[in-house]
Amino acid sequence: MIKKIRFFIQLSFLLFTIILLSSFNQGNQVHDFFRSIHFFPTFYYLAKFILPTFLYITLLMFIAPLLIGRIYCSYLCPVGFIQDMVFKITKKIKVNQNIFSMLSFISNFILIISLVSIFTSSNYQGIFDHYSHFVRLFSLTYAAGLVSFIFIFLFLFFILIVPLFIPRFFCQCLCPSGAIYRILNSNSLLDITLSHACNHCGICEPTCPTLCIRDGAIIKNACITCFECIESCPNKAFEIAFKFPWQKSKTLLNKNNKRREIFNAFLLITSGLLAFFVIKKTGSANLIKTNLIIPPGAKSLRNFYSSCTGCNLCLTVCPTQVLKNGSSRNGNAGFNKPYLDFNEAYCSYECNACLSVCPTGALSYSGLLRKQLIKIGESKIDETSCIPFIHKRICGSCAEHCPTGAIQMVLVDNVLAPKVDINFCIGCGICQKVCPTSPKSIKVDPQTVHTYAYSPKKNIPKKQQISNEDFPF
Amino acid sequence: METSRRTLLKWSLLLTGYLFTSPIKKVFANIPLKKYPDLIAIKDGSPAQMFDAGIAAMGGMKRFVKPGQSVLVKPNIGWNRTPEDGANTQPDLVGKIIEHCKTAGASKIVVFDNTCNTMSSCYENSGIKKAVEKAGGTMLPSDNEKYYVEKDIPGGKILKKAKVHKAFLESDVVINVPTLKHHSSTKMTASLKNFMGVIWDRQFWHKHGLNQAIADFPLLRNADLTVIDAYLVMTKNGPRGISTDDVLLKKMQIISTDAVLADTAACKILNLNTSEVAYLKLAEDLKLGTTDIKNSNIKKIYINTKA
Repeated sequence: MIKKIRFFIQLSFLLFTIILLSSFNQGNQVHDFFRSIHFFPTFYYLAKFILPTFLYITLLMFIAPLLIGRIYCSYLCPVGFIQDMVFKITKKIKVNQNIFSMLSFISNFILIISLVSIFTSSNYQGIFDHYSHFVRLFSLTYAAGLVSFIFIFLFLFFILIVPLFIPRFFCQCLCPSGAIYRILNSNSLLDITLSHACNHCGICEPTCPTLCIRDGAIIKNACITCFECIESCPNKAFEIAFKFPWQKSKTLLNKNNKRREIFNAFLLITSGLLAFFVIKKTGSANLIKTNLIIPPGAKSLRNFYSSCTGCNLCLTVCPTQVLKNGSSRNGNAGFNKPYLDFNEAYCSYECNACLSVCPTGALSYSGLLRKQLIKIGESKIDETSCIPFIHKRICGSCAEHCPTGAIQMVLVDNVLAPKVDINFCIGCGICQKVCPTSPKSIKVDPQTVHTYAYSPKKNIPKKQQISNEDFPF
Repeated sequence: METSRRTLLKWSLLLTGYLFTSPIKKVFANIPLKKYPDLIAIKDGSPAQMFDAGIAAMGGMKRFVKPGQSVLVKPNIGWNRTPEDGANTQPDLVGKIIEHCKTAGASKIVVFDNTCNTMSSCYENSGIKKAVEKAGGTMLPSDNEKYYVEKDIPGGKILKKAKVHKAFLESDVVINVPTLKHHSSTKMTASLKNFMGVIWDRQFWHKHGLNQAIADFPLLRNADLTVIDAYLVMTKNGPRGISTDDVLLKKMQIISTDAVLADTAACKILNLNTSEVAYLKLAEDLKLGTTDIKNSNIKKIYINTKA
């Protein structure tokens, strides 16, 4: 029964996630819930000393495993569900039990790297975050770039191929959220133990989705508290008890010897320090100038690169598909960060989809009216190739598309030629997109720090202007 | 029946009479009767009201659309803006024209525009999609090169070839429904310039001489009826406009069979001289119409809005 309920909840949550991710609209409230239950989007906010509006859900998800264990992993997580399904194909009965301690060791290491990189504003902070990996799958059809494809390929390898041999490999080894849940779970109030009624029949062992029951004991590091073992036991030997962490008796399986524990701790501290220095060297503080146009809402290059995980959600929702990923023009730091390419598309003036969906706060949402003033670049006209300057005939393609009126046609040598007023230019790039010359005569220069342009809508009259004149013919 | 001499005479007289008069009838039929005015200017009404009155004075939609014909209504849906901003044709007017085509017996009515902003958002926010679907027309997609076919333009000076939307070539009747706006480089955009929305590569026109290209294109096919919507007129910062500050409520409409004449009247409404809008003269040189508004037969209709 529990097995069926668990399958149903997992499946419905997977479907719910897919529907949500493929039907984003601006300012989606469900999205807040979805991103807050993974800890990491909240950490990106906290690293910048911002308290996100969905912090309370994260706190709730922090307390829940302390009370009842890893129910997020076992009942909700779509990535875990996929791995469960994959593992059912091979129906392996046993894995080497030494593997669990190795997996949890790697998992600790990855958790430390992830946390250090987030709180040191590194540019490489999102590479283990399972939320970003899962969202990135939806950007397959978009211009996601080579690095994203490698990430997608590796992620699919680890959730579709490896779990054939090791159950829940991604959750046990690579997922930093899984590591947090594992640590919380080993200290949780609810404790599943085997009583003396157990006759070591071994019926429960293959029913466990992570195969963590061995000889009448549960390996706590691998247990995801799915409760499936409880109903499988013919003798009803499983007991659910509420115990504080210090009251728990350590069984032989969960006890490490002391020397190994000290060695582990030493290794973790050194690796943490190493990670800290490596990341500090490649951190966002090294960024001085951008060669690529970064999306509106990013505030500045440093702010953007230090919390963007390259999940490509903004690419997926962009209606004009101006957002691309995977350019090497900003060096290694920008290898999986989105940018705007104005040669084939432009940033729509009436849209703020990317700002409203960004899960990590790399793009901060501030309403459409504010976004329409954010200056992400400045247009510059190249007078040596612009048609009115060299051929002496009108073109005006840029001026007619400009949404803010920054480009005006003025008389130069008796020909109307474009002129940019940079006070009004927001760098939306529509001028570059529609410029008929090749190479483009008008180009948008990227801004490293985003400022606000002058508002073009200053003097809007409250009443409509009416003219009562007769036909002039 | 008995054939008497009298009946034989009677019939032969009738036959000779018929044989003599039938060529004369033919000649009369070929003389264009100046029954309808060249241009109708309507004022002081809602866009739909003005069209009702104007098309009645033009001889009704039956004059242009024969039963069973397919019709293309080509409004200006270039921008992702609302009807109040005056950047696109008023949706009520487009809906009304489709209703008139329907009553005239049109088999299929299609509407499209190659938009400057994203197509779906333009169709949606301009209100035209809603109005068209309510009136029984079809919105055609225009955002892919596959909908366009390459065509030679006979006699074009700069524009020898253009990729034209299939619906523009396949429809039996083309009704051009532009909105009157200021334009940053050509000074005015109305009926002739509205044809830029049926071709794929607009940038070619900009690159090789915008005014001449605008004048060249109608050589391929001119509109059978032009309805210029001058209800909300964008008088500056066109063709996109920045705010509602740019538009002026003029409540006018121009209906004509001659696109050049309609444009000439429209440029007067914008307080421009005919010489300032360069493509009008170029189009007149290509015998697409006349800019001589003084010697044209103009009918002005004033609608009492209170009635």
